[in-house]
Amino acid sequence: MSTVPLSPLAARIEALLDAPTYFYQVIESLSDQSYRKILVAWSELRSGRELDRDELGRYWIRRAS
Amino acid sequence: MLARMEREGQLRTVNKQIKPQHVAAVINKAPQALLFNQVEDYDIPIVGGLYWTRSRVASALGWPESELGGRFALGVARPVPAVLVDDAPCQENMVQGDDVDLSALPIPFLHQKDGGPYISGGVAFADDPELGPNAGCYRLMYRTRNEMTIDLFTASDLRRYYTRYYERGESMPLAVAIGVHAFEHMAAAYKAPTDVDEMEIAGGLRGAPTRLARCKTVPLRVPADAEIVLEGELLPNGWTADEGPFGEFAGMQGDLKHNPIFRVSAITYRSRPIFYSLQMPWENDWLNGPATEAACARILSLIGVQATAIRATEGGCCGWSVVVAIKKRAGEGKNAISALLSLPVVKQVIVTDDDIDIGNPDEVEWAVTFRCQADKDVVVLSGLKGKHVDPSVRPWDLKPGELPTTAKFGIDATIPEGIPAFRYERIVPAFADSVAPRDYL
Repeated sequence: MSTVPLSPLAARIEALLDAPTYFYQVIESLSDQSYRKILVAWSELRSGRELDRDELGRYWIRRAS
Repeated sequence: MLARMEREGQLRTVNKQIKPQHVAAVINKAPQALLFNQVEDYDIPIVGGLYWTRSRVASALGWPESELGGRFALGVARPVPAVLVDDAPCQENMVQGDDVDLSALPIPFLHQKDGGPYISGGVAFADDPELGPNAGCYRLMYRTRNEMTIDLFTASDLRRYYTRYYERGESMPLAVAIGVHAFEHMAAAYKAPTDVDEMEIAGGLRGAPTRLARCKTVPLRVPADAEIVLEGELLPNGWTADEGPFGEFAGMQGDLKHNPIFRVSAITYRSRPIFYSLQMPWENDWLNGPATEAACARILSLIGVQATAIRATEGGCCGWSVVVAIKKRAGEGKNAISALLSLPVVKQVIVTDDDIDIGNPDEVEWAVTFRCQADKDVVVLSGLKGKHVDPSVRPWDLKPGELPTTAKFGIDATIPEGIPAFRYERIVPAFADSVAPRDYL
């Protein structure tokens, strides 16, 4: 698993992806943030972590056991 | 185009602030196309719903509703070469390299189960020394500030172009124009032969050349009057990057796919750009509606059936279902059905006589009810070429690479042979021609 440090907002998204999560649930869970800030943090997370997808299209991050 | 649509009541400007993730929900319920001037956190307005209905398409093109298919056919038959210009509004501003930031564009999140925000209304431009220039409509999912995934999953010209680069291990230059005129968008959506330049068809539709500009960082040409242009390259990663799900053209949520990555190296844009967000499914479908109607007219003409009106209907995604009115001679109702069902996408057909207003679903239903005997007038054909996107063909049961087949049907709702027309004489209110309702209401 990557150890690239993340901004606080990207780290919040990373935490959400402990369980399979639809993109709309990411937006919903971060309703205190502007859409644009979510997109910037999403870009950061995509660049710094490997995101998995399940067959429904939900995102999650595989944790090292 | 937007000014005409607003003048004709087909477009409304909204000045209340809106979040990008709420745009689709509002446009889906609005009676007009909407231009949102105040988008939260962005200084770029969003417009959407421009081609949601037949009347909006007609308004966007400046054509009468009844002539969409005919005028489209004429434009395709008389292509006009594009002209290269230096004064390109789409290049009034530019950011490139590390300054590229796709999050600065109000790319909306459109459908609840989508994999991310989508550029749904972009027109992609590519070129190949042997195949020539190509334009087509492809969706792109936001990935990072300078990368998007592009859907090249199904067979298309762009997939063919990309495959040639991919097999050489090379990146392919690509430009995506956002906010082009309906003529360019409809021409790009049209499945033209590979050796036909879609921008020449756009010129044919307009009756004047399309103005093209050379891109700033890639060897491609794009419509000079576009609002925003993304320049960059398709990486040779092949079909490996997650893309989707996305709300598909048939009105159903699609699957997660794996597709190539588009890395953006520059963004050029007008000084006051408008971001066009195409709304699925009807806008996507209506971009193909006139082409479907033109194809129906062509095949009916080939078999000598005189069509007086043709409608690609919305419920059939403007391609899968068509209603046709004809001046019938004996047997031609079923001749028309057989011919129309041979078109690749068309899956159901209703044929009526020319006294039926096929723009009125009640009239069509009346004809089906009273002019059709189900055991004689419903034509069913089995084992024809189908499409994976249609769940009723059970595509998940197919082996990899196997193509689906489908059953298709047509309803001959013309007056059956042997029944005199007077049996269908319609009632007319007494003195209807001489009494004016306005004198009483």
